[in-house]
Amino acid sequence: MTVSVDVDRLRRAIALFHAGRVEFIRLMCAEDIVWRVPHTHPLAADLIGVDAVMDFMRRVQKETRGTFSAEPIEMAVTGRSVFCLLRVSGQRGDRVLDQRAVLLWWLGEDNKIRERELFMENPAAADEFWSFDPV
Amino acid sequence: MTQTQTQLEFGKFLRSGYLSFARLDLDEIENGLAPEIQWHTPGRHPLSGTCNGIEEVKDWIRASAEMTNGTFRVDLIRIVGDRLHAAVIATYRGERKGMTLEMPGVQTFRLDPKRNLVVEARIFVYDDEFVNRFWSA
Repeated sequence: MTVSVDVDRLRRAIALFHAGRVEFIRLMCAEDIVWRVPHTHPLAADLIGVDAVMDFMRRVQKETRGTFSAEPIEMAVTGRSVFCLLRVSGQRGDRVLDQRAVLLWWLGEDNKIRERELFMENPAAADEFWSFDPV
Repeated sequence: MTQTQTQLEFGKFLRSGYLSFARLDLDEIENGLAPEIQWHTPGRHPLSGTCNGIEEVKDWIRASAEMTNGTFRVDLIRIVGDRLHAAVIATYRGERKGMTLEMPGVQTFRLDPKRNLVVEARIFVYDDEFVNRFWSA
């Protein structure tokens, strides 16, 4: 069965979601979502549940003093799978994050996100960015 | 052609390309690539960088096979895409100098729908430090 997804709306939602607009996060995520944050930096973890995701996005914004953002470049939907090539950017102290990433969302029957995977173009630079102590 | 049919066609097209990759059928692979293709590989190892054009992509594929004694392969898990873009989710596997590569990864593709040719491919890997060690050893 093919799910009708408004790609332009999804594109806007992805940008707002990553800007920490928590009202979008609760609306878009399943209660028992599995949200994988890859690699070895302090924020890396498999988060379970929408509250953990909201806490994570709040922390991302706090750590970057509100500078973290994600700009969708390309995206596609097949059935209930969503792929988005993003440019993610942010600043912590004098460190700058600016690279591409691939976001994968697996949606449930209610079209809410059940699982999220992320692949960074330069994982080592992302690890360094999130591990750096700006204080 | 409906959107779903087009999605299936691009998915089938990419699956066929990966089968050709597994057989090292470079002529078949060439048929699916635009002459001006850009093929990006991340990291800091001998295969990293951007291949510009079909011949450089074929050199990259030959090198990946030679460096692993033909063990490098890409096992497809899922293809997500529409008529212009797709992401191939896969497990990258290979053996090299006592190391075993078994790594989740994604390769994104951009298609020129008029010519039905891939104009850009971009690889993302889960653990770039290990990938750097694997290909640099």
